[in-house]
Amino acid sequence: MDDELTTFLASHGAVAVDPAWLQGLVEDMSSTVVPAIVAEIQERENLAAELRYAPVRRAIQAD
Amino acid sequence: MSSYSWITIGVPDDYDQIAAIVDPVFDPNSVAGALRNAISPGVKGVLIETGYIDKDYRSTFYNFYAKKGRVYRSDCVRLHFFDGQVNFDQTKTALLCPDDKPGDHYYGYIVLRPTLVSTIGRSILSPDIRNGAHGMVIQSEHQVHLLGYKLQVWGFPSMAQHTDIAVCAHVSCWAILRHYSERFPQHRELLIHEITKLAQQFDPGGLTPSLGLNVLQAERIFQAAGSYPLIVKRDKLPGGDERFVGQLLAYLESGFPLFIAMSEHAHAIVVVGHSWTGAAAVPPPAGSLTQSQLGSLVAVDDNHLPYICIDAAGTAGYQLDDIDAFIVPLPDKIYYPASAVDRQSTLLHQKLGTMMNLPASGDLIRRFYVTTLSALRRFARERASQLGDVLVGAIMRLRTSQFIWVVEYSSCEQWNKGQVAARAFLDATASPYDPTPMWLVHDENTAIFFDRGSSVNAANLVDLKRPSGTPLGRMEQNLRPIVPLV
Repeated sequence: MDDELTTFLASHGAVAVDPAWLQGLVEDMSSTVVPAIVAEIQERENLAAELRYAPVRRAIQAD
Repeated sequence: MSSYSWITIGVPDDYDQIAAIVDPVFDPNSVAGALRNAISPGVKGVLIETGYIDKDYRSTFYNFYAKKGRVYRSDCVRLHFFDGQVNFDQTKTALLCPDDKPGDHYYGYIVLRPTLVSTIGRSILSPDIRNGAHGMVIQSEHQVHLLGYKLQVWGFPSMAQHTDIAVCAHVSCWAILRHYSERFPQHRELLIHEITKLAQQFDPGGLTPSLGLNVLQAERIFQAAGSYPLIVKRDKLPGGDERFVGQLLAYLESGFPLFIAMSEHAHAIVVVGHSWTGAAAVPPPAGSLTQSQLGSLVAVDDNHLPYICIDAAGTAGYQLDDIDAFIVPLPDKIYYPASAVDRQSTLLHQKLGTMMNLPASGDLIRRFYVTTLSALRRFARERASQLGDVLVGAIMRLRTSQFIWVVEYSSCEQWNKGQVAARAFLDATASPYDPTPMWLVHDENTAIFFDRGSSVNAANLVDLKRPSGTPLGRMEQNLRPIVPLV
């Protein structure tokens, strides 16, 4: 964190977040959210690839 | 040679006067019909400017129409729209209005092309004069030079498809890229025929463009124009519809116009805005994303005048469910997609429950969108008394990436009042493998600042000492509200 921000926060009584809570957050994110995000990005790219190479279609005429 | 004619609009049929002034090659009868239905009664005068040289039409004239057997005119007509405060003095060739500020009473223009059919060309209309338009719209300010006046209008570019040298998908790409070139100086202006050529690796000639585009070609156009397009397709898995619309809204609320593909209709449009449902949110909402609060989308569809609503009534001839996919042309430095923010902000809500005052899961609405650090600081400056000195001071000192994802958590009651319980600011350049992409999370009382410069997990908690009883207001910066002209 920037020294400037750290100093500013300290001057307003900032304290370190409970390391156990932070560790729990990192572990839960790593074990559930990150794999889901990565899988979803891969699936989105699969769907996009399907869409990209779909046959050219005629756009509709103006009314 | 230019000439100027003024028509006063008292009733919608007054638009028929255009046909008496304008050459039939501009198809004025069809144009008058479209205006009768779409333009609000607040418009009281139209100035017709003939002999106008339009750069976009000229790009197709030089490369296509001039090669045809039929002789096409090289000039265009512009129709300018004013409210009841303005009149035209034919003797002095001047716009008259009591406050001598015609720009304050100007609502945009439509260019007419001499192409016999589908003649509505480059147009910038204010959504304030569009019958039925409501909600918020992505807009930029356009300069208009008319009779020596420099007028300004806020709106989104639109035109009808040519049907030959450009179809709906070309026109949708053009509208988005013209908005970008007007809004962001790093984007150069591309004329409609240049867009047509960008779709192919080779010169497409005159026939190929009329056959339409596929999504790959639209993606190629956005890449060639200097943006970084992301394709998002609706998936068929459980919850897929909510996630798809949630992402669509996230990018839209970030100020990015969306190229929309509808395979069932073989059509492409641009979504430029939305409105929330008029009904109050009550717990439990139908899903925690703002998708549950969506009333309608606002679209630029080349088959209509701009700002048509995509609603449950099918006003536009299609509905939200007809949207299969969208392309969002992103700037560089947005690497963390909306789908990741969706996942991340869900677990973050659960984990923050022990640290902050957040709505319960059954009473939660999550809204997320991209902003810039400078826009965030502007918001903090404008809302300094609401946010308090500690939060404002920290935001001014925070060093982040240029783009930031903002997540706002609200209860239904807070949503109805335009308030939020808490916000999280995420690094838009984060890797999807980053378990804690947060810069900062805060509620009404406390803030957690995450140290993204350290190799160990660390964060600081600070009491915000905000003014008591002052709720946090929703951040709405990227879209402008429609204020109907009556």
